[in-house]
Formats: sequence, structure tokens, C-alpha cells
Amino acid sequence: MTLPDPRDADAAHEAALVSRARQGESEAFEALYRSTAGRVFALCLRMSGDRERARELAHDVFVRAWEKLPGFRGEAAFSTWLHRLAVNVVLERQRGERRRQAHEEPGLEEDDETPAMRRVVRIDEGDRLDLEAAIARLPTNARTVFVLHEVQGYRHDEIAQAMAIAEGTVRAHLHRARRLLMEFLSR
Amino acid sequence: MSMHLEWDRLNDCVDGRLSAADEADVREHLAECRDCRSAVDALRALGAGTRALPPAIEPPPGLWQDVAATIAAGGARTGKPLSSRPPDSPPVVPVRPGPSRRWLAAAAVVLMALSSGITALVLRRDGVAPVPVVATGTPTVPTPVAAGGTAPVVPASFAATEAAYLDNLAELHAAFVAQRHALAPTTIAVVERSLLTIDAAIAEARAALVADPANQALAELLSTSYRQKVELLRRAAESSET
Repeated sequence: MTLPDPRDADAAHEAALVSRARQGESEAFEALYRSTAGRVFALCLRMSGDRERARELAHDVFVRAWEKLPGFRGEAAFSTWLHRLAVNVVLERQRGERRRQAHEEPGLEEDDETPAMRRVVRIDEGDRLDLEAAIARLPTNARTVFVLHEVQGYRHDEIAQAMAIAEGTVRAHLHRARRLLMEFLSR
Repeated sequence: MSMHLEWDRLNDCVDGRLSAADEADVREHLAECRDCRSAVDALRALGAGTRALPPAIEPPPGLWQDVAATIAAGGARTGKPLSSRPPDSPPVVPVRPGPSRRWLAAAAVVLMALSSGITALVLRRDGVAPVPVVATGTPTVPTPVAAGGTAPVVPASFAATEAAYLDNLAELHAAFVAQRHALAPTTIAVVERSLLTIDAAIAEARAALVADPANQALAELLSTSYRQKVELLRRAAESSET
């Protein structure tokens, strides 16, 4: 006799929650939030490099998820669908900010250091926080590419498509991110 | 010929993006060059360390409450609390193909108009009420009912949503007015300018929706504008508490 795979039970439970949430049950949606918020917040935090901004982004992700839930047909796992939605929300916000920066501060290079990036980050909890803090200090595009590639596992071509930039540019941002991280971590 | 491998080649080596011929050259170089070997080791260690980062980070407290409040403000078509919505009642913003080019263009026109100087008073157009402004320059909560006038009617499917937004905005706006003394003048100025812009956008979107009640893209645009105002007032209130 073979034991049931617990992942099947988890998937069935998630599918049931999604079905109830699609019918408008906020308790079911809250349960989905509880099971996914940590990963969504981690993605938003690493891509934005700022806790307050990450909070706003995560908020927008879940509000958007609620609105789009009727269109979720279950071809992929809910967590996968939500993850893609989160990436899109963050990238949309970054594009908007770049447009505003270009309008308000002509001549500002999108990868120029900002005062926020130069702030001193107090690290006293070991290597992992050193690395998290170093990632947060990266320029926006370098950080975005690095997180999508190294943390989230996206391919160069997928990142290029999502960010509407050339694959060669993705490669350049990734290599720059690694160089900067090594500099930050060696200080 | 360079003494050491270029940074891009070292990265491509680690990512497995070299051609077979290039890879052979790089391997040959690495066998003889300790510095380049160290660089490759460091790159691999960086990748391993990054992949070992925890997949989840505890979100800040109160995030769910904010999400739930925003969703509630978005409201159900029935106007009932979310948890008691009947099964056949979809969320207020149904999923569908994005707005048509025509309405995206219309939205762009609205934004251009706003950025070029629409200020406190949005003139009546197609029966839409003006957005009143109090003497301080602070926009009041926009109300679809003009003083002494007849309210242009939004589609029934949006009426409950709008009522929920207006209730929520009334509370948030009262809190903002009550906490003005705790805010820096520059913050107040920024919030008030933003409110004027959002109010103008709400009035424009509302007028367009009244004129074209079946247009779901406009309903979504109006809902988004209301939601932006909720978020702005909430953040203004938060900044007065810090």
C-alpha cells in the first residue's frame, strides 16, 4: 500500500480555497494570503530593496489577485499564478517610477546611485543579512535582473521579455550586479 | 592578449553560456590562473548563497488588514460584506481583456489634461457634479451629488462599490483633516495637490462612466482612481503617526 502524497492534499486544499475565494469568500482568500504572503513579500522586498515599498507592493499584489481571481482557471498552481502577478506588479511600478524620474529629473541615469542606496546598512545577524542588505543596495535594474535570475530562477530571455529590454542588457545588468555585490560584501 | 579573463567571460562560464570552443579556452586558462579560478569560485559561491536565501520573509504586521480594507472598499456588487457575498456575485472588477486602445487613449488624454493644469474645480460635463474644494485648498470627499442638483447615476453594478468607497473616504478624509496639525507643511501640500489630481481623475472617469455605463474599462478606471485616493489618505494618516 502506498501512502498518499501530502503534496496532492495540499494542492487539493489550495484548489478548494481558490474556488471559495472566487465565489467571494474573504475567509478563503485570507487563508490563501496566509499561505503565500511570506513568499510574495520576500519577492517584493528583494526586487524593491525597501521594506516600506515592499509593503505597498505586496498590498497591491493581493488586491490585484482578488480582482483577477475570477480569471484564474487553474492551469498553473495558484502560487505560481500569484508569483507571476507579483513580478508584473513590481515591474509595472518600476516602469512608472522610471518614467516619473525621467520627467522630473532629466539626465538622471536610471542606474545612478541614489541617497537611499548609499545609506549605511547596519548588519549584525550574519552572512544572510549581509547578502540581503547588499542586494538592497544594488541599482534598480541590476537588482531586478539579479533577483529574477538568481533568486527566482528566470532565464535571460524571460527576464528580457518581462522587462522589455534586450537580452544583452539583461546579461550586462546581471554581471554588473554580481560585481557590485562582491564589492559590497568584501568591505 | 589579456593576462586574465574578462569579467563577462567569467560570468558566462559560471552561467554555462559559453560555446564549446570558448569553454575549452576558459577551462584551459583557469587551470593555470589562480586569480581567475578564485573569481569563478567567488561567483559560484555568490550564486549558491543567493539560492540559499529563505524563500519567504515575514510580512509587516497589519498588511492583511490593509488588503482586506482595500478589498472591502472595492466592495461587492451586492454591497454586502465580502464574506456574505452570494456565490454568483463576482468581485467588482471582472477579469477580461484589457481596456481598448480607445479608452487607453482617453485615459491618457485625462492624465495629460490633469498634468497641464486641471485644478480644484472640475466643470460640469455631461451632468457630472463639480468637485468642491474647501477654503484651505483641501479637496473634500468627492460626492456624486451636486449641491441642490440631481446626481448623475452610475450603473447599478457600480453604485454599491462607489458607496463603499465614499464611506471609507469620508472616514479617512476626516482623519486627515483632524491630523493636519501633526503633518509637515510640505507633506500637507503634496497630499493636497495629489488629492486635487485624483479628484479630477475621479470626476472625469465618473462622467465618462455615466455616459457609457456598459464600459467595464471605465468602471475599472474609476475604481482604480478611488482606490488610489484611499491609499493616499491612508498613507497620509500613517505618516502623521510616525
